Formats: sequence, C-alpha cells, structure tokens
Amino acid sequence: MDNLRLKKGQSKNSEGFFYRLLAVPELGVIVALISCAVIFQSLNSVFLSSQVMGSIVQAVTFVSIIAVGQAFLLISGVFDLSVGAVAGLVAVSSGKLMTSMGWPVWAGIIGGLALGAAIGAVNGFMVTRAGVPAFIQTLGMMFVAQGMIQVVTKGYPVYPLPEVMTTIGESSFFLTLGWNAVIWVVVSLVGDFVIRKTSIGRNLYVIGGNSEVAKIVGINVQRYQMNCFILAGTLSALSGILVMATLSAGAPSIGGGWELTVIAGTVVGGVSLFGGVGTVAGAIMGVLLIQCVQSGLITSGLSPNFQLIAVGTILVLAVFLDVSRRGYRNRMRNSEKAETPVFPLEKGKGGGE
Amino acid sequence: MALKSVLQVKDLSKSFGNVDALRKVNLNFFEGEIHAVLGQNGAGKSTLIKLLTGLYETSSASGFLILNGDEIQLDSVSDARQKGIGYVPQEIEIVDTLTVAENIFAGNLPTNNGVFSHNHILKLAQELVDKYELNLPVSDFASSLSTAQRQTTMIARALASNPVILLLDEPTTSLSKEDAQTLAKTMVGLRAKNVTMIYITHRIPEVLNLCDRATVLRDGQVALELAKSDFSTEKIISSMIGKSLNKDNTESYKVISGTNILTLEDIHVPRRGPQSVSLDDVNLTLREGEILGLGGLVGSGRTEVLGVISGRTPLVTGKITLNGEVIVGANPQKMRDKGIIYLTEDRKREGLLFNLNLIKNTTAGSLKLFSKLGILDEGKESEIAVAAMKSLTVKTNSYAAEPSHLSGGNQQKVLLARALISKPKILLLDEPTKGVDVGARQEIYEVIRRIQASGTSVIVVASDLDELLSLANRVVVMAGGKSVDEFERADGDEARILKFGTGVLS
Repeated sequence: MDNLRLKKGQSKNSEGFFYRLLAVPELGVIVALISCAVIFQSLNSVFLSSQVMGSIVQAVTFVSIIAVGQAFLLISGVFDLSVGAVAGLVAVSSGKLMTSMGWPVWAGIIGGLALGAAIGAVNGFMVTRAGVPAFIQTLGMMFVAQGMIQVVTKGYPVYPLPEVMTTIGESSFFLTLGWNAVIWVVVSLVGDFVIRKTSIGRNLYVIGGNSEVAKIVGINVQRYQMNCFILAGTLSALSGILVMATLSAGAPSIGGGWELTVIAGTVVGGVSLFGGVGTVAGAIMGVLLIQCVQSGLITSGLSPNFQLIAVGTILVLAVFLDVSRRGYRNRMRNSEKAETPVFPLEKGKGGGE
Repeated sequence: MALKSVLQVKDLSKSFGNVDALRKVNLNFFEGEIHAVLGQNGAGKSTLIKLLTGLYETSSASGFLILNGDEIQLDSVSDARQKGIGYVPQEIEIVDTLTVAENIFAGNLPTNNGVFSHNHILKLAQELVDKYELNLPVSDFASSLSTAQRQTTMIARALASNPVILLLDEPTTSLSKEDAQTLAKTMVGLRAKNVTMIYITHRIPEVLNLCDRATVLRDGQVALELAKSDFSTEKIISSMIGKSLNKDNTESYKVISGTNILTLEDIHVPRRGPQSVSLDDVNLTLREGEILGLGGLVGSGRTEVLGVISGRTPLVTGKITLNGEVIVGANPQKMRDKGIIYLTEDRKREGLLFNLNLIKNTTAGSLKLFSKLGILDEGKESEIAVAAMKSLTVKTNSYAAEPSHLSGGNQQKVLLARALISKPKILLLDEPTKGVDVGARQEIYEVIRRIQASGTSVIVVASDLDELLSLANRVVVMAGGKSVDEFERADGDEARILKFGTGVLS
C-alpha cells in the first residue's frame, strides 16, 4: 500500500486507518460473521463446538463451490440462475452413467463435469452471442434442467452408486470434514487467487465495471463472459457430484432452490449485482454467514421456520449496509474535494484578464 | 409592419462555476417571424435553449424572460410548455407502435370527461393538423411515416399545447436535403398562420432562405443581430468566428512531411444510432509524427471517423491502409494490437472505470506489461502506472483512490496515461479537453505535443477551433459525413473550416 501513497504530508486524512478499513471489500461480511458467532455463542455455548462448526462447513461446501462460479459471473456483469438445477441434473446423470450405463467411475465424473460445462456453454452462447438477457436464458435453463432431472430419474433416486463414490462422500479426516472440504478449499483458494492476482480476474473487473471501456481497451468481452458461464456450469456439476457422493445416491431433489441461496450468499458477501465489485472470498463468507445464521437459529432453539425469514432479512440488510458504506466513503471523498480548490490560487490571481 | 414582441430575453446571464455560458444576452422575438439563432459549438446556444425550455430553472440564471409583456419564471420543462414555449428537440422521438395522433399528444393525453378515448384524440389531432395545414395522416401508425413527417409530428406535438412561441433546435441535423426542404415549407406555412419561431441552427444557407432575422451568439454574448435585408454569409461567418482568436499561435505551422502511415479511402458507414451520423465518402491520410486535426461541426462525422480507425465501427465499403497493409475486419482488439489507441470524448460512459482505483484504471488493457503467465505483479503495476500519472501531473491525494473524486482535467490525464503506457503508434483523441477547466487545458495541450515529439502520430477532434488550430499541423474538414477539405495549418484558418461546416461551400 505504501508505494501507492504520496508523501505523508499530502496524504492527510484520506488514507486514515478507518478509511482504509472501510475500503476492505469483505468488511461487512466479516463484521457480520463475527457478531453472528458472538450472539449465537452467547445464546447457546454449543454453537462454536467442533460438531456445529463442522456441520456448518459441510453444509456450506456444496453451495459455496457454486458461489465461486457465480462470483466470477457477477463480477463480469452477468449471472446464472440455473446453477442449482444443473447441479441436480449432473448428479443424477453422472449417477446414471456409473450405474445403469455401466461407465467406470472416472468416466462418469468426467461425463458429469462435461455436461455441466456444456450447459454453461449454451447459456454463455445464448447470452453473449444471441443477446438473450442472462435472467431469461438461465431461468429457462433452470426449468429445462429441472425437467430433465425428472426425465432421467422418473422421480426415483439413482443408487446404489459404486463403492468409491460413497468412500469419497463419507471420508472424514479433520473434525467431520473429508474430501468434500478439501475440494472446496482448493476451488475457493484458486478462485480467489485468479480473481485477485491474475489478468483474467482484472479483465473481469474491467468488463463488469464498464463493458464499453473493456471493448475499447481490447478485451474480448464475449469470450470472457462465455468462459465464466462454462466455469459456473462446471463448478455446479462438481458440486452436484459431491452431493451425490455424500448422499450415496443421485437424488432428484439435489440442487433444488440453491440458485437463490447462492446469489443471496454471494451478494451478502459484497459482490455487486451490477458487476465489477466483490471477491470470491467475500462470496464464500457470504454463503457461510447465511449458513451460520440458519444453524445458529437451530442451536438457539428457535423454530426452523424462522430460517427463511432470517435469510431474507440478512440479504436486504447486507445490500443496504453496502450501499450506505459506499455513500459514506463518497461523502468523505467529497468533503476532501471541497478542501482542495479546483483552480490553483495562482491561476485565480491571473484570472481577471 | 408594427412589430409586437412575443418573447423578450433581457440581460440573461448564466454561469457554471468559473465559466460564463451566457453574459447579458438580450434578444427580442417578434410575432410571426422566424428568428435564427446561430453560433459555433460552445457559443451559448444550448444554454439559452435549456433556459428557455425550463430545463434550467430561470432562478438559476440572472436576467428576465418576458413573454407577451409579462415576466415569467420557468421551473421545469412542463412549466415552460404550460406557459407557452413550445419546444421541438433535435432528436426525433416518435413511438413507432402508436398512431400519429397518440404521438402528438404523448405525455399529455387529453381525456374525454376523464376517459381515454382514441376517437376523441383522433378528432383533436385532426383539428390541430387542419388548423396549421400540416401534412399528417393522424390515424396511421407512426412506423409508416417518412422522416419529414416524423419531424412534422414533433412539431405538431409542440403545437398541441398552443404555444406562444415555437423553439426548433437544429431540426435539420438528421434530415436529408429533401426532408429539410419539406420542413422549410412547413415552417413557412406556420409563419403564415402567425406562429413565432426560434430557429437554432448552424447552417447559414437555411438562415438566408428561410429566416426573417438572425442573431449570432459568440462566447455567451450576442455578437450580431441582422434583419433579412442585411443578411450576408460573410457577415455571419466573421461574427461567428470573432476576432478573439489567438493569432500568434504558429507552433503548429511546421509542415511534418513524414511518410503516410494511415490512409482512409472512400469510407462509407451507415448511421448506427440516434447519436451518430453516417459516413459518406471519407478520404484522409495521416503522416508519421504529425498531429492531424479533424475539423467540422458537431454531427459532421468526426467521431465516427475515429470509430472506423479504432475498429469500433465496422466498415461497409472503403479501404483502411496501415503502414502499407490493408486492414480487413478491423475490431478494437486488432487495431489496439497494431498500436492504435482511442481516447473517448465521453469519459464517464466509455473511459473511466469507477469500480477500480486510478492505478488499475491506468493499466486496464495493458496487463501484459507486468504479468507473467497471467499472474500480475502489482508492485510493478503501481510503479508503471504511478510513473505514467506523475509524468502527466495527475493531481490526487492517493493513486489508490477511485476516479470519481478527480476533476475533469485529472480524469482526462488518467485516460491519457492509460493510452500512453501501451506506447501507441497512433493516438486518436476525441475532444480531449471536454469538461476540462481552462488551466488544465494548456497542460493537456502540452501533453499532446509531448506525445507527438515522442514520435506518435495523433488525430485530434476538437470543436473549439482555437484548440484545433493550435494543435494541428494539418486539418481535414468534415461536413455531413464527408471529408470536404484538407490543408496544411499555414494554408488555412477558422474561416476555411467554418465555410464548409456551415454549408456555405459543399
């Protein structure tokens, strides 16, 4: 940060600690996570136990793998509503490949991932090339995928799966966490690195910030957004396969309603619905926060019926806080501006002509 | 003829910060006349229009508006309309899926005892059309109208509120010659019905043929007022130019005789949207190391030429040759890779990234300079970006700040820094000092000359003729989507540019 700043005397209050703290994009969700932990811990000390924490992470794994893809999409200015249905469709299709089709497990997994990528490619093509709005295209794809789940399964879960899948799904080597958590951590770290530290990530911010500017500076907007759709489809597929392994069955209900949980979590984590703002880390913490509240409500003995109410309230509150924070930073900026005269004094003296 | 004043503008002044847009303007519009208001870009025409149509509240300016003898205050557009100022905007805004009658009353639909009745509206529209003898099929859908009829519909919409005076804002800009003649006929017809019209334009022949009186604005003041008997092209042009231009600015007189690095031949491009114009036979060459100025009025196709060169606008016909190579299938990425960088006139919509800090704004599109295998070296990035911004004297509290808090001049310097770090061979500058205060302007001129000195060829579009002529070694004049003149700086001046731009020569 130091090399970004002018001499100390010039920087004045603009880069004060508080101002910089406000600039941390994940600040809101971090504060919320901490307060949430403090509140629920004080209501019932079981909240911070390894069991509850482990169950939270386990519950969060699947959705937040998808949230990584959704964060990429949202940062580049588009989004995908079909992620949950795709996860479900891939779970049952991949299961079918391994069972009734008799494919080897690795081929079943690759087939599933390829299906997810292909659906992402269709979404990407229709949005970036054919010009269908992302909302409509991915809503349509959500229905199609949900329908295909019924077609593939006729309503019955796909099982028994090969032994290996169950072993992966039920593995547990730290607290209650196993391979699922490992894959989640790897996907999250790689995703966060790509967004923050690579040209791919930077170009996505440029596209999401202003796609006209992106085109002018020579970024292939369509190709980047296309690849984001493919990434989101593939990560949804991965998530679906992991759920299937965990359940030891390709249940038709997998992924139902996840699209909204994913978007809610991502947005709560500070990723802007308008593009160009947010991080993968923020998105994951957002999903984590929502799960914390849901689990916390259970440990504190409230009726599970309050969970949805809480999620809805958090979503609106999070965006409201985000909007206010930006407004506050803008006001700080403007008050600085007022101190700095627009016209230097020397110019003013000579201005009389 | 006893002249009855319909609208009087008295001592009207309006300023924006340090800039005086209007200074004690006095105008008198008499009943039944067509009164032309002329002026170069920036002369104050649009500020005057915005004050007369209520877009700027009267209270934000000093001076008086007197309508039919009574002083009026305008608070909003609808207020101005109610008080009797009819406005026909420059853009034709017609809803194709509605009938002509509905379009005429759009935004102000009359009801029949509170009930919307299409027949009622048809009747009212027909009455209006009959009263002013307009040529309009009121029950047809607007989609079937010709351009001239669309323009007439806009006029009918303004007439529907029974205005005391009608203000037409450059109505012929997007019209063909034939359509413009139809419009002129319509206006003559309205004059016969004693309608008073203010005709904002920069086309002198139209003024000579059509108008009864003309007022020239320059630098926010009335520079000349003429009655029809005194009309002359020379008087109007010299008054539009004024004598305040910086004559001793001979810095750009040097003839740069470098090789041709870029040639455009017979370029044709259709109109791409309401804000753009079509290009219709553009030819120009750019020499290595020179600053080429594109002159002409707003809407003459200057920006579109830059669009073609930067690859944003696909060609229909024509040939672009860059360093001896004919370019096929130009797009922004390709042209950028070939060293052509475009700097927009619209910093907010097509330049700055308000979600990223100044450093990232500067390096957008040039990530290769500090990345290996796609991984960014942010230390090196800020070194490069800060060095570029410092060399252009960007004034900011922090280079990690976002661009929204910078002044216009500093925002422009950030965009210049973005252009420069990619070491362009050809730099395209569209209105480089738009929204930049006077002090920072000189700095930006210096920067542009430094860029030229470093061997980059530059094409500048500037509406301010002083700016254009002090920068350009050579000038190409655009008018109506055509390149109509090309001269060395020493061989011509503002009059040569204006003669074409105003339609006196074509």
